[in-house]
Amino acid sequence: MRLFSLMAVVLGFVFQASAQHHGKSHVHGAGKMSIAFEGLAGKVTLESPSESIFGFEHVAKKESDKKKQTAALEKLEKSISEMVVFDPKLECIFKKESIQVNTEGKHSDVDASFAVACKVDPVGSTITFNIQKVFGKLTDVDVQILFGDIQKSVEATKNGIAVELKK
Amino acid sequence: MSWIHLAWKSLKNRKLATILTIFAMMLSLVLLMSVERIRRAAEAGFTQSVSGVDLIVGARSGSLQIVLYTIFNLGQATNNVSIESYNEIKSRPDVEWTIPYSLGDGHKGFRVIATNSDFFKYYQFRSKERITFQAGGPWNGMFDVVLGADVAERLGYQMGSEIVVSHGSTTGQGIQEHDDKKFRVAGILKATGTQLDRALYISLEGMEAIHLDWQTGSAPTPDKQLSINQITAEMVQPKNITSFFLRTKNRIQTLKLQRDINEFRSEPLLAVIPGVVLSELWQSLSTVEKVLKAISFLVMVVGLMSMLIALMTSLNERRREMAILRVLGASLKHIVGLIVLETFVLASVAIFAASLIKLTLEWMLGPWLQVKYGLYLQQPSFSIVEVSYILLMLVLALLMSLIPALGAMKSALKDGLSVRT
Repeated sequence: MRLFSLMAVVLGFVFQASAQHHGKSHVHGAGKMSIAFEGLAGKVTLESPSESIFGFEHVAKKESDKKKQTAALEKLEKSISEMVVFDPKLECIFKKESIQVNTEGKHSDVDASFAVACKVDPVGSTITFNIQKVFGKLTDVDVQILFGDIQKSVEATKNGIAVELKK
Repeated sequence: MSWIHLAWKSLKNRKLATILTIFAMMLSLVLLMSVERIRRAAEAGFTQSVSGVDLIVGARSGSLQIVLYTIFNLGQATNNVSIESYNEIKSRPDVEWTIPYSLGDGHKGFRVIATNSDFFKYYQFRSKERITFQAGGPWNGMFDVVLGADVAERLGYQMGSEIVVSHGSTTGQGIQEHDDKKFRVAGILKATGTQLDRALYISLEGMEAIHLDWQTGSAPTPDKQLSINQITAEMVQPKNITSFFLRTKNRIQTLKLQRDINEFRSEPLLAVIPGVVLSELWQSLSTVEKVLKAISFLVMVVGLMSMLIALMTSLNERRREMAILRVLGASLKHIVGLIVLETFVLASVAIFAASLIKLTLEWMLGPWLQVKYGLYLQQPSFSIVEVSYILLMLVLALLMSLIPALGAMKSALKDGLSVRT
């Protein structure tokens, strides 16, 4: 037990340093994703700086900006299953719940939420993240995963990062 | 005589060298598998220090800080959580249960945790293991205390022992003691191999009671002290707690609840998913893991090298044996095959012995490692990684055996029957 206390302290310093680097609520290129499942039903949420999704954070007034923003948000909706890849055997289907652009001061964020329905329980399978394949500017996504009693985290910093859904 | 029989006889003929080679290979494989097993056990012990808890809620600070002071009894909270906020969150329809934690006092270097009976009912660790008692049970009275296994063992407490709680967190003997209100040991927890073993548990009301007559953080003067008989149930209703564990009815609701708590308007709170924070912490250890693995692989290479040296040095002694085999009709392929087969036998025996030793060590040391160091040897006994190490050892041994095998083939060609001694 002292071993774990010591480990926790040592890791704490390392982690704190890392958290100071990544912990800001609005860092261009850094996003947060949460995936929660109960049985066959799940939810995927993504928070990302707008700049990483459609390239700017000002309110889209020009026609070209509006088009760019709409195209990027449609891309997010259509490509979420390419960004978060479940085992095809599970036959999971994503359904958009909401995609919003929230502006606060000079910054804006994209908040997206998707419902996921699978035909087979994903516990025991693997999720692969290909976020950068779709949004190349979103280079660092902290993912928290909650599947029944499985709680994990992963930093999706490149395509192909996979997480096994088991304890 | 079959080739496998011939290989076995040949190895038996060089008994000492064979046993030493098997021993070296076996030791390297035991070490390699043990490092992987301990890594797996440490990860399980660390990341499953608490289980079945969806969120830990505390005053807004860092996610790590909350995990450290609630799960690992390390560090302090930046602020308290008001009982109103706690009750508001607890009464939400999506919340299944909560466990309140109130920290701040200690006893001879151990932390005193004030909680309620839900702690004994719901707290889980590892694979849903629950808190059990080696003696007694949960508290009945306001001044009952339950001890973690380590506390009872190190301080020599038994059921009914009287305990004085020190004010503030202590690393040894406290400076200010709550000696006017002593606690009585009502229960001792079974050892868990987690931080649960290193704390004392009192009721929230007990925590309130010992601070009732304290003024601005100082002990009361004798004339202002409240005796135990003067304390009523209404007086000891908790006003603040330090943090609380929470379980939702549905994991999908956890995300929404986490967001709601993190945007809580009444006071700044932070809700963290413990497994996520512990998993992030564990990932920081990947460098140490890599170094350990590198060392283990080097040991494996040493084991294989010792096998190679043993085979190479025996070659010179076996030139006549090879030549006789050639005369008896063995082709060069057969000579190569014999050496490879011998290696296969050596490696197989070493793998079998290593697996047996590993399982025996786990069976003998498992419970002790769990209680003493929190290393939880969960199933399966052989992970995919360990099986791949075994296969790697076998394949590398066979590949390396080609060096002496080709050497033997060459010398068999050269020597014929005219072996010079």
